[in-house]
Amino acid sequence: MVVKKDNIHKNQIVYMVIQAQVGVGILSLPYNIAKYANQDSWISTLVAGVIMLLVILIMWLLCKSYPGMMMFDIFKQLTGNKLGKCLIIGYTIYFMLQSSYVLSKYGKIIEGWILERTPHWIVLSLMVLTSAYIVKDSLQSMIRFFMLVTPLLIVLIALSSYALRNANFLYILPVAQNGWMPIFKGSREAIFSMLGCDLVFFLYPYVRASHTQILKSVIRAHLMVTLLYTYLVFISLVYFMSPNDIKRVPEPFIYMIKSYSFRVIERMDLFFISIWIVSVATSFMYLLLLSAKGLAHLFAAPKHVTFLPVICLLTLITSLWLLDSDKLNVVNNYLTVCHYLFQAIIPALLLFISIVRKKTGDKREEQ
Amino acid sequence: MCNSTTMDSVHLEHHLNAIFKHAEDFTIETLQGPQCNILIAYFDTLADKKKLHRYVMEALMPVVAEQQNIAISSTLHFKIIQKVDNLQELLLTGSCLIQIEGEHPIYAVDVSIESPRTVEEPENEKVIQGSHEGFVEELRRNVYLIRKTLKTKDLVVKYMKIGDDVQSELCFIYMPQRAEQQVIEEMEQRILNATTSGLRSIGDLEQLIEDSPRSPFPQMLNTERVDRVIALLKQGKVIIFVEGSPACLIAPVHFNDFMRASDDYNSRWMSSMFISGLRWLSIIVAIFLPAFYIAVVAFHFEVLPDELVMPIKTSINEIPFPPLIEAFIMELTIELIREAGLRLPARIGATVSIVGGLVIGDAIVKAGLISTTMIIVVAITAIAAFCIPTHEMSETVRLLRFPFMLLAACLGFVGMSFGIILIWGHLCKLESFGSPYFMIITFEDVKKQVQAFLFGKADPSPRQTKWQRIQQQISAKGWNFLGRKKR
Repeated sequence: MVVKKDNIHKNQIVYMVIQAQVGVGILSLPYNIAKYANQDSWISTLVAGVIMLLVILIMWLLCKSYPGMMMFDIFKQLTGNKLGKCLIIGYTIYFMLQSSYVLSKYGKIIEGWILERTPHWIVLSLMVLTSAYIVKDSLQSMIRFFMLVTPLLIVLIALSSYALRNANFLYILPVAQNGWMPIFKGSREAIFSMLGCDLVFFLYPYVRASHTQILKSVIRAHLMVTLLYTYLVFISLVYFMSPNDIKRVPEPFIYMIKSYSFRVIERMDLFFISIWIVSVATSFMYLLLLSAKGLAHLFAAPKHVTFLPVICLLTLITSLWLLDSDKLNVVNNYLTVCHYLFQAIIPALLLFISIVRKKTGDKREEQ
Repeated sequence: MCNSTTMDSVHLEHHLNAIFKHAEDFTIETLQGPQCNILIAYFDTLADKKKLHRYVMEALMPVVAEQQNIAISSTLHFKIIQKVDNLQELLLTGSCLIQIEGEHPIYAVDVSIESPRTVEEPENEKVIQGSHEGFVEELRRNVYLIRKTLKTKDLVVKYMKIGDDVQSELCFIYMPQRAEQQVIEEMEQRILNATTSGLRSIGDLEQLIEDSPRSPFPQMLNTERVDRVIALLKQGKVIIFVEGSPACLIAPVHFNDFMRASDDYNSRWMSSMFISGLRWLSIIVAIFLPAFYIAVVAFHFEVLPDELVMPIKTSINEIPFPPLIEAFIMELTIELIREAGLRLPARIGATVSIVGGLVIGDAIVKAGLISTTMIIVVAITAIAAFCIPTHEMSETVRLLRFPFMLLAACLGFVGMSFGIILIWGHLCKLESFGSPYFMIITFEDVKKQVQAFLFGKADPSPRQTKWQRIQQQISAKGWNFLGRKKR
């Protein structure tokens, strides 16, 4: 079982994608969607899954046409050196911003639910340090960690499923009462919790599998996550009396789980949050890794470790500032635009360019 | 200086006397016959008197008396030495050197004392069922113990030396068909490159060649059991013996190998699965229970159900210390008792356990220093740590408990979560000679097991317990094992 340090086995892709996707958003997912879609939130997640499939396809087609190249190299190849570098900087900043958002969101929930009086910087720097420790070595060790913690999701599902005891399935009726517009609006919120497929595409050359295998694995993982989200949203929908109730609780799952009483142990929400921290850590790790890789590509450095301390520090400071000045919502608005731009529009444009280039290249060859 | 063909007995005597100037147990005798003198050199302390008499003196008597020079070389036990460099080493391993005056060849006879220690069961790795053989301090005898059971041509035994001035002999054993060539090469390379001024024990060697010396986890398995070594050899592992140590090092290992006792291979699969499950539980309890208790008492009292709140509250109400200090005092006391009991002879050991267990345990509660619940938690933790079958892993676990207690006292469950992430991340990084260390179970394994159980399709896997072996037997038995009931 001798494994090369940075290669990714095809079986590992599924775990990578699942762990990158499931993260900080999972706690407030039903709340965010129900703001728009009310009792049809579960349809919104399904719609979001389909939309994300398109994004996956675009990125995959892009990577497929340039095998053996990192995403960052493809930028340079397609748009020229200068513009490519700008793109790399843009992506790096995007990943860093996203990671500081994840970090401060996590800090907020910890502050609200477990450690009310602990200073932010302790809770946040613990997260940054542990994640940096795992990211700093080989890719393989990080992915092994992702595989190891995946079974914890089952515990999360089991804990949430307990709520079905008090469920009333009539609560999801009537379906599509207000037409399809609110559902689409809700799915926009759901998409943000599904980001993370890009991890595979940014590490494409390291994956030891054929193109179709990679696509299959990514789609399989994405399907799992979509179903998981749909299931979780569904549970919270049938648990809470009316969509108005959900709109009052920003973290519906914790409220749900908090109300259970087992004979041996109470307040399962504390355990739930403890396990959820691991999920946050994995998605934070992937963002750290990608931004470090981005910087390493920018400066043509062989290892991403060199830039890790800088990125960790910047992320930590940004997220602390966000938390203290209570600017989470503002950043979220900016990030929303960034998500569209960096996850969908730019890859689609690049794909378009590459197709056009190929066609013109073919024509030239014919002539 | 001179070689065996040129050195005569006078030279030899001078040469040897110069080397072993200060060794008073070094003996040189001269047998004086009517025709020729014979020089005999040996170490008094290393030579067996009976052997010396039987193989050397008796064989030499006719030579001394009747000048039968030819007879000497045809005597079975005598070997002619080719190189003078070997002389020193031969003498030190208990050989006797012989030279007839006026002739050049030097003969050597092995008259070393047989090791007095017999093969017995290792003290620290007892089993209920199965073989009771353990290794001894002698290298060749250990190799013999393996060869005796593993009668195959497919077994490589390779001797090596390590050390600059005081050299220790090592022995590599592996099955080339099953072991990975890369691992063997890597291991040999590391041993060759290691510089040491002499090994004190097998632990020294382990530290010299392991992958991450800064990790708290053991990366090579250390065992004295013959059956365990043979089972591991068949799984394609490499075994290293060091002269003078009854334990051997095994690599590459996984975390699982430390959690497996030889009994697992012998009991029925249901009970063996139950017991090994219990062991996994014990490792979790041994690391996390005190930390969990501290986190609950110090941070998350609301986790306790209503019925439990009052008993625990009354028990800790009067205690002057914070829970962390309380836990540290008790944990350290237990470690002290354990260490004291370990070094003392068995009879005094009983006193220690009475003083430690009864007197301290009882009095400390009555004095109101430590709460009863804390005593219970610490006792359960200590017992759980003793359930771990390998000594090194048990030590690691006992050590890891302390940082977790600290984290739990500072940040409660959040701290513990991060502790777990760190430990798991660290375990995922660890590699034992190129193979991942923390490979508890893979998806393929599960698939194989389920397939084997449902359909009787089995694929012999290198890492087998009884449970896996049964699966394999279904196909190996050759008759329709699953279909017999239908018939």
